[in-house]
Amino acid sequence: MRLTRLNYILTAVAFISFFLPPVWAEAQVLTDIKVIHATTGPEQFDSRLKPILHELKSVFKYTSYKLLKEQRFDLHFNEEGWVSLPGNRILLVLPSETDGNRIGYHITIQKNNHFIFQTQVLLKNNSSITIGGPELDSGALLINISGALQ
Amino acid sequence: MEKKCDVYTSEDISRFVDTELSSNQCRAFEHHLSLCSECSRLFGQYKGLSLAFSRHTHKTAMGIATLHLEHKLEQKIQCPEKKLYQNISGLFGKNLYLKLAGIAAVVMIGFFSFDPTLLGTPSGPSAIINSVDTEYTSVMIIETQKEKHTIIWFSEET
Repeated sequence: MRLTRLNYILTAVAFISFFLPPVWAEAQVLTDIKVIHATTGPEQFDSRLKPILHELKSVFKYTSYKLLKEQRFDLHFNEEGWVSLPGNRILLVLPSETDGNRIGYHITIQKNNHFIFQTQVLLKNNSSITIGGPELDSGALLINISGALQ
Repeated sequence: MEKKCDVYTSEDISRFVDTELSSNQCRAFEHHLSLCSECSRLFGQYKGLSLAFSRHTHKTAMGIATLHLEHKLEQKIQCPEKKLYQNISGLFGKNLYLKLAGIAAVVMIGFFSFDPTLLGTPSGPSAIINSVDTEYTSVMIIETQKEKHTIIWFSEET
């Protein structure tokens, strides 16, 4: 008899849990944006770039990585954050969804109020993506975006 | 006082009983037996001893086999619940080290399969690109070898 009662309780708990929103539904996403100027000048780098520097060096020919700006946002899902970039450019980031392991981001770059680049990515929690290409003072502009569920 | 045979010793008779003599020696001794009463008496004694010994050993051997079979049968009838345990125990035989190694292997496989980062390599790219939309045609998606860091590179050339 006891076992039957326990079974009822467990079934009820499982049923209620199924319809409850996931824990991270109300969570915020800590989004960190680093704006980097990469050039082939004298070798220099900012210590704050240390976690990604080896990865950048393994791909690019640039010798100097200068951190121009770093900005952090605590964003709710579907809340937009933006950072102004050199050359009349603006970066817009919007976390849209998560499954607990990855965070969905809409990332947009505007130049002179005109969309020049848009992407939708699934960023691994506590990881980052680098977007680069725009020319800047005989070098290139790199934007490193990292996201962490709070 | 017993009369001793001058031709064959008691050792020769014993060897005959144990069939350790050659065929020629056997034939000669058989012929002698029909003539010598002393050898015939000793032969009878040794033969009887040999027969008794072989019967005893046969009976002992049969007894062990029967007991073992009975014991196994009783175990099967009385302890059917032990069957599962016996099967699991029998999986790796009776070697304790082999059992421990088997358990360690299972634990390690389970451990690493549930947390692949422990193996030293990331489980996937840092970012999965669902879509890219740009006015410019030149777009590259790069993944670094070591940390699988995802990089999107686009050209602004018009």
